Amino acid sequence: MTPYEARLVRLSAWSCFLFILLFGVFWGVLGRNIPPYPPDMPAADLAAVYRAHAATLRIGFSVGAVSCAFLATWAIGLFRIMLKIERDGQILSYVQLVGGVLTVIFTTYTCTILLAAAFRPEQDPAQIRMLFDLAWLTLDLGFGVTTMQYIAFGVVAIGDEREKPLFPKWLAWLGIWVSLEFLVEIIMPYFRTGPFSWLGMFPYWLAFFGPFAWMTSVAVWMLKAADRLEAEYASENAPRAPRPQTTI
Amino acid sequence: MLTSSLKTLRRAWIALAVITLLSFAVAEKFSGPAALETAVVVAAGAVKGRIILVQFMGARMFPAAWRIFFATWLLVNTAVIIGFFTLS
Amino acid sequence: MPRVGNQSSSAVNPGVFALPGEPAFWTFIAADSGLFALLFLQYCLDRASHLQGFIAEQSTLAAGIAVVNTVILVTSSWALAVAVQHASGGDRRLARQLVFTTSALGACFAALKVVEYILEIRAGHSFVAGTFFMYYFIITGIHLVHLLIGVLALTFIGARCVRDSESSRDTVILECGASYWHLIDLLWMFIFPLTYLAR
Repeated sequence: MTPYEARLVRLSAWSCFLFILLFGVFWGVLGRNIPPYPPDMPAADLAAVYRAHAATLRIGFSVGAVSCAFLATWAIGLFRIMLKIERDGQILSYVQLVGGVLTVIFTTYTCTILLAAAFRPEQDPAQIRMLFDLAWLTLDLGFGVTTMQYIAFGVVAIGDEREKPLFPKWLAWLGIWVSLEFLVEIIMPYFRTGPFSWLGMFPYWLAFFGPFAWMTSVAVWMLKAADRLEAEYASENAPRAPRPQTTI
Repeated sequence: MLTSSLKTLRRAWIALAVITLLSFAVAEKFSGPAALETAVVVAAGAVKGRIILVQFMGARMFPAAWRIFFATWLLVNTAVIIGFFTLS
Repeated sequence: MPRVGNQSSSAVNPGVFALPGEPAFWTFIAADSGLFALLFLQYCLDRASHLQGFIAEQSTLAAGIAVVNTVILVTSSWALAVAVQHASGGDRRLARQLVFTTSALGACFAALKVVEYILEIRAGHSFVAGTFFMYYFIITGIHLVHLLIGVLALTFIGARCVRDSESSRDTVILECGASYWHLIDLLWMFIFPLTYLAR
């Protein structure tokens, strides 16, 4: 990997940290989504919260929406590294790229939908709640592309034939597991309360903090990988010693 | 890893099957305190779990950290279930 | 033969403390173990706050099919353990048959489970019928999904990885598959008393 590209891959890894920080602070804290309000909250109460805190909610969701672009920049840098790992073709690297980029859709929409509620909080409470429902169902059930992304990465990283793989294989398996845990979201719509509702242990705490921890680890290893790939390139392209002169 | 001989494996299977049927019998027939019945069937489950870990999965040859992980896992599950059922 | 990662299986190095199969795969096994431990804890917490409801709902649950299933599952684990012995011992044909036996027994478990679900639903107990039944369907359901994946995996492994010629990569895959299947059995050892027997 050329030094120029390695620098961009490092930036891509940092964009992952940036996404988590911005999304966490803006959508999470300012957006009052850690944890979210429960599905069985009365519409009037939810509307009252949105009316009282509209100012912070608005900035939370607008910056949150923009921060989702960094999910794409992260996926692209990871794609570039995966191309150096994947033998016999590039399809799984593309699957990761596409999955990671499509994840941007669901995270962005969840912010803009909630922004709509915070934009006009004086509207009918039933409409506020409808927007809140829509935002959470969109975010939680858009996981298919993210699962696809993590599994593609996992398979490629597991198949890394280097003596010392660029990514630890346990990290690859952990990503596969985390992305399959998302499957619990399929039953989430049946529950207005309890550990399987959208703020429950399984659809929320494990399903959000699991991936954030995993992504952070992947980004750390991306930084190391960029160094190694740059060194590989440097040793492959080192100027060769001049051939000894032979006198005829 | 799998140092269990075929005879040991067969014995493990018989033990698992017998403990299963005994726990079922206890659950069906036992008329004493519910907490005791719970303790018996859950402990039986943990014993079966240990048999599977050691005889089938070869836990004796696991690195120490993993032996500790699974032993803790068995203990915690047993304690949590029996504890909560007894104190509820 | 390209190297497949870190092969520290003690089938390769007897006497060495090592995890069977590919060590990295055990991250997956550990994570699954943790998930079910959380599910058990959550079940106990909810039961403590809905005690009468749980007891009433659980009393309508019949354990007969589950007992048969438990015996089927431990038998399948036994068959697989024997298969792995034979695979490294040399009788790979018998090993392959036993792997297929394991997945066939797993399929029986799944079929009986579905029958049990249908009977419960017919009796009016669905997974939104009450908190106990929510846990009953979800915990056994997640277990069933794991089991079905195991059945598919073992069928594939039996067909492709227990061939007549020895290959270290095949051994690793077989051991990983076996470890996964034994995990499914191990989890059931708690799920069964928790949902069906404990009062």
